[in-house]
Amino acid sequence: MMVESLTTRMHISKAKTLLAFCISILLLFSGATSAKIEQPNIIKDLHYGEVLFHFYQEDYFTSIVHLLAARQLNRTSNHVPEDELLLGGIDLSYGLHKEATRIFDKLLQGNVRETIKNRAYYYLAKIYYQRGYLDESAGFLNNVSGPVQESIFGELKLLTGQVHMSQGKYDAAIASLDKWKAPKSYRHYANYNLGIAHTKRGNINTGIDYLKKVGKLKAKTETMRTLRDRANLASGLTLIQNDRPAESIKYLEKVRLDGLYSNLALLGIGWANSNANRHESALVPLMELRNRSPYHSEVQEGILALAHAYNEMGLFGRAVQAYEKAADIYLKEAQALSYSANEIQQGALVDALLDRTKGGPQMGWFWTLRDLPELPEVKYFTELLAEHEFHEALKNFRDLLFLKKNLRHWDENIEIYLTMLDTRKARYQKYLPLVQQRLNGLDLTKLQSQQDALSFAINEIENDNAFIELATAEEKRKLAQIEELEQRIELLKLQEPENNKISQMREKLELMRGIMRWQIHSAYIERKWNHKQDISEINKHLSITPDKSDSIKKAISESVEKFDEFEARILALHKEIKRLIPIADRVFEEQSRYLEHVAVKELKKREKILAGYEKHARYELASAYDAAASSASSGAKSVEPQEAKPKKRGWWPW
Amino acid sequence: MYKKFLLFLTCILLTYVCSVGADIGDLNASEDQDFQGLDEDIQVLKEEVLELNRDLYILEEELLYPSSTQVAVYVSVDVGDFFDLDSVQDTLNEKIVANYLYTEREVEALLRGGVHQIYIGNLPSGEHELIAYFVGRGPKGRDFKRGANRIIDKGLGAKYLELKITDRTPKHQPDFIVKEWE
Repeated sequence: MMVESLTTRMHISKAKTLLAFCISILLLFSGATSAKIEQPNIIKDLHYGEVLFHFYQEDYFTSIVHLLAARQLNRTSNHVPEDELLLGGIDLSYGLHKEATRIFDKLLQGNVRETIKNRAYYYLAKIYYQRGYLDESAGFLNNVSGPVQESIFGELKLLTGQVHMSQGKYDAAIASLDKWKAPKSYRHYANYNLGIAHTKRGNINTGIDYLKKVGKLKAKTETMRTLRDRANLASGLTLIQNDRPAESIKYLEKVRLDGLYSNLALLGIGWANSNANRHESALVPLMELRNRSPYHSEVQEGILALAHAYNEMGLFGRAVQAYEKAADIYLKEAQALSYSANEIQQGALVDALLDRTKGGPQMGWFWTLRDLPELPEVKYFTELLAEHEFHEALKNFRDLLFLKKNLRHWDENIEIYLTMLDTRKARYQKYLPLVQQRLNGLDLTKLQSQQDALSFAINEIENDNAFIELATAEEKRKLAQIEELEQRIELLKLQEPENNKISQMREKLELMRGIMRWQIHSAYIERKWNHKQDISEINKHLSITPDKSDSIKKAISESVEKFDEFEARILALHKEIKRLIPIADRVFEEQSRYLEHVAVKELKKREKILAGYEKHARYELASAYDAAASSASSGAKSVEPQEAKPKKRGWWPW
Repeated sequence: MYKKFLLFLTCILLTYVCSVGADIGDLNASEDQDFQGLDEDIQVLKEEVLELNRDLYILEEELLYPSSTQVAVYVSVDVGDFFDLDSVQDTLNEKIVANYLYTEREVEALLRGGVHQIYIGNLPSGEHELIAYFVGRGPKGRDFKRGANRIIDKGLGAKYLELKITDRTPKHQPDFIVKEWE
């Protein structure tokens, strides 16, 4: 019976969070495992790789914008049709189910490779599964045949198992996962799912064996540690459900005390011990649970279980106290919930969220739901986050907030482009006459003939070995000076033929000339090479000058048109921004109300459960008083009889 | 007594949860109708804003970096067993144009095949020198800094450059390549 209660509670909890679980486990798979197994893509277009860079960081908005732009500018032509498949995949991640479905449908109708089709089927199956259309999802998975890309193979296998399990086809789920030699990063998930499928099928021991493998894993990451906790919890709860409470404890005790499932595990240990009539042992986990935040439903249930354990042990005084405390807590928490719901209706939730997401336009996107702190304005906020409907509503709220900020950002900044355009126009007007003057003065024929003459001259020099022609101006000046001095010496020689000094001077001059010519000759080869290089450079420039000239002329003729076109585009985009702003505001407001509605709905639901708990605690309190009184009057075992003395309460019937 | 209680508790839980579900369901049937079409509106709005941002992105690029002068530098990592990337610095014609420190998340995205645009700017046609410095941890976790350079010939169209970090398996060393794309 006790187990029934626990499992009933578990079923209720499961029913509430089934979709959340399915989505989160899927996300868990895709996030945690694809990073390891997926082979790096071979990038054939840099812009495609740039989109992946943002996509892998879960920055879906930027990746879609860049991919749309790259496709429009034909920059992903080497990745057709993968680029379209990628777009569908990112759309899916960004919550654009309709657009993603349209893309995949279109791809499937086209003549594409089998691997592409299989990937499209996989994505479609995922979309339909996430939206709860299990038969359709299974249909898409059935269509997968032939080769599958390695990057999605593991996820495809897991999804297949998941869909079968959701359909209650545990044998099919087992068949699909059993013989799969899963890679290391998928193995634990596969074993976990196999464990669950077997236990659901009634193969308890086989199921526990699979779960045991996961429960023992040496986890290095938080994701893996959480999976290990889940496996141990599943083993423990399954054993309780199957009247093997004593065995279950060792599994439940392996669940971390500070993990996501610690409350549930403590409650499980408490129930298991009680079920095995070890009420004293049940006290320890239940008392630990009692000290935890009363916001959690496991803690709330644990308080009642603790009171009950006291009652069973005959500690009626403590039982009375515990029931009273439980009833008070339930009442207080129900009031707190009611207050919180009221606050949410007054806008406290939305205000608190907006307050924590102040900042630039990017702030709307990058805050993740798990990073959000507890909101003191809204009690039970973390509890609410566990609810799929609330989680989805909050994601849309976040996305809309980002869109609003994005539109405001562009609205404020698009004017800059107009200013930039004006500056460019002014600059154009300023330099246009000068450029036109230069263009008009450009005589390509003349330049070409000059260049030809230069080429001819250098060839002549080379043929004649006329190295003197390549002397520098200074060298030429010095040679001329030497020549002039020689002429003067010749005249002097005529006047004084016997003068030895004149002969010596002449010899010196000849030596100097020789040195000069030697120097010029030495530098000749380098100079000739440099000249040829220069001529070649001129040739190069001359060859592209017509194109450049044409391109400048074209730019001049098109500039005014282009300026007008830019201006028209900017104005049209600004108009579109202005059109979208009020729509975004309206949708955001509606989504805020919807978020509040979902939150209030969940809180009210919880409030009613608490009211039920309270009612029951009060009922049991009466029974405990009764038992305490009977036990005292019969002189039977009654510990702390003074504690059992009931306080006078209005509702007490006698 | 105890078993009786558990039976009772189970009934209570079931009764309450079921009744809550029914009540809430009835209560919300009309309220939920108010929000019908909201998901549709959100999807339409998202698509319109995405298309708007696409047009703005293209406009911005055409205005700021016309294809005749555009130069963009990208960073990619192939395998990455021998090098853990920390940062990259780019200089163009001896002027630092980009200095980027990578987060763990970004490095993971690079390892999965993502390509990061580290710089986009304008250059006139002609020859230019690109030097890139890669800082990180090399084999055996040692600090590692390596440079790679290339003279690029900028023509009339846009020029894309890829700074590629690869593994030289035989030597157990990373390799840094500058690749030109047209």
